[in-house]
Amino acid sequence: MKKAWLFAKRNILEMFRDPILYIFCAGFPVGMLILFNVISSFSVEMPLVFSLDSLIPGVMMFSYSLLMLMAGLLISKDRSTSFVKRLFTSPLKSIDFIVGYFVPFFFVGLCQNIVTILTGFIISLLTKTDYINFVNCLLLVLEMLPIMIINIMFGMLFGTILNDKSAPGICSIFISACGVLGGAWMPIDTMGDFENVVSFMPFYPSVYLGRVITGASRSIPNELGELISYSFHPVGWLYVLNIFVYLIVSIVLAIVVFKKRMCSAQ
Amino acid sequence: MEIIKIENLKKTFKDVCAVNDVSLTINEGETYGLLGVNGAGKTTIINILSGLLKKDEGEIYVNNMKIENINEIKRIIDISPQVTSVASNLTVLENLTFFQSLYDVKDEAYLNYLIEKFSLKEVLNKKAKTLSGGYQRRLSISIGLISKPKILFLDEPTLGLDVISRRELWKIIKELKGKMTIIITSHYLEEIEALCDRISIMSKGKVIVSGTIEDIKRDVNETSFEEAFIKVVGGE
Repeated sequence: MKKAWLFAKRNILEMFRDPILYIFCAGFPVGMLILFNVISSFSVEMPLVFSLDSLIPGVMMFSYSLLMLMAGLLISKDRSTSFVKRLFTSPLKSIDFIVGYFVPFFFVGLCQNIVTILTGFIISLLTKTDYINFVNCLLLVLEMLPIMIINIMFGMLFGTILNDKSAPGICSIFISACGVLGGAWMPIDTMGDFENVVSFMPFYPSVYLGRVITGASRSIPNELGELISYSFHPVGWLYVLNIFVYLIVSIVLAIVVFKKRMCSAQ
Repeated sequence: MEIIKIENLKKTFKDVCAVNDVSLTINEGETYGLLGVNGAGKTTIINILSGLLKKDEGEIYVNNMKIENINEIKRIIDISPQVTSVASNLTVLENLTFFQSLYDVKDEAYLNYLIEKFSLKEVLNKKAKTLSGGYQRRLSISIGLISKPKILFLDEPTLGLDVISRRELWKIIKELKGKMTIIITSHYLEEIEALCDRISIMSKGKVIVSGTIEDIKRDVNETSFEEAFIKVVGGE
């Protein structure tokens, strides 16, 4: 594992010296939270999907898609410059490669969580609104780990099979899918059957469960006009199962393809 | 003493036969050249010898070990790939120390020797991506040497370099001669002529002729190596 950490350290240095990391992984969540709060402050009636307890899980989920892009870019670039070729003739084993690429992005994902939650906290202080309590923030981070890992694994997969020119394009499609199908800032719960359709993807269930933790309210009130909170029942376990299936599939797929492709010439 | 022995090597990519029934031997301490036009199969042989590709047929022995023991072989080989392969956002020093740690080489004196030898001192703290092509290639080759390999593969070491940078690299490679076995692939005739003890000329995946440059020139009755090469490759 010593060599995996060495390689991870190299990847951390490589990433943290690239300004794109700060723009995408820190600037983006901060920008989105500020933007939606500005929009909602100008709205006569603030859309519930823009409330902080609803928005925070959505922005967290969406920002992981940018991690996927970063992972795809780093790996495809390493391949295009033959850096991986050189490493493959070194004593590094496949597991060292996988851990060495995964750990830095996992670390950046955790930093993204902190940035998003802290930004939300500052906004809540400025707008004098209630905010998610500390324990629920920790639970939210834990709940979001699987979708974060899914995104990193897909990033590794795209970086492995695509070159540095095509990786950004394919990753953009994935990012758009996260945005549209994840319900980060779109009231999917008002869209009838569309909510059922997107429930088969991992994005919306992750956001949904996150909103259960933050105690966010659904976009449509009940017949009495009262707000209804996102509830774990009856879909919670199905969503958990869905996310874990995607988690396992993405890990297996990324590792198998990575090992296969990295063992052959560029 | 033979350090690399290749017998009837064959490698096919889908319908294309990249290496076809190649047999050759390389002696310890020798600087050996694989020469040929693009697509001759030079890089494929290097990739197979360094474990990046699996052979389809034939036998390969490296330092008396079968190529199947690639994890053992990896301890004594290193490569400087065709495309400059350095960590672009790391400094020159970080690149060197990263690979030194990767190979568990704890020899600061040797690190300083390489820095001195490749004239990297003045760019030591510069990010690799800001270096000129010549410096990047020097860094790439010095990384190849950091593990103190018995066998060093240099795949097109001066491709894309200007004439001054090329000559500077030749000088460094000449100084390495005899200290390790060096296998160079190139399609620059003058490079092979200046650096190699023995060569193999390849075309369409086959070794057409092997030997010293003088032997090859004599065999085809040519005084110029370029003419001899054209005669060998074109006359196939």
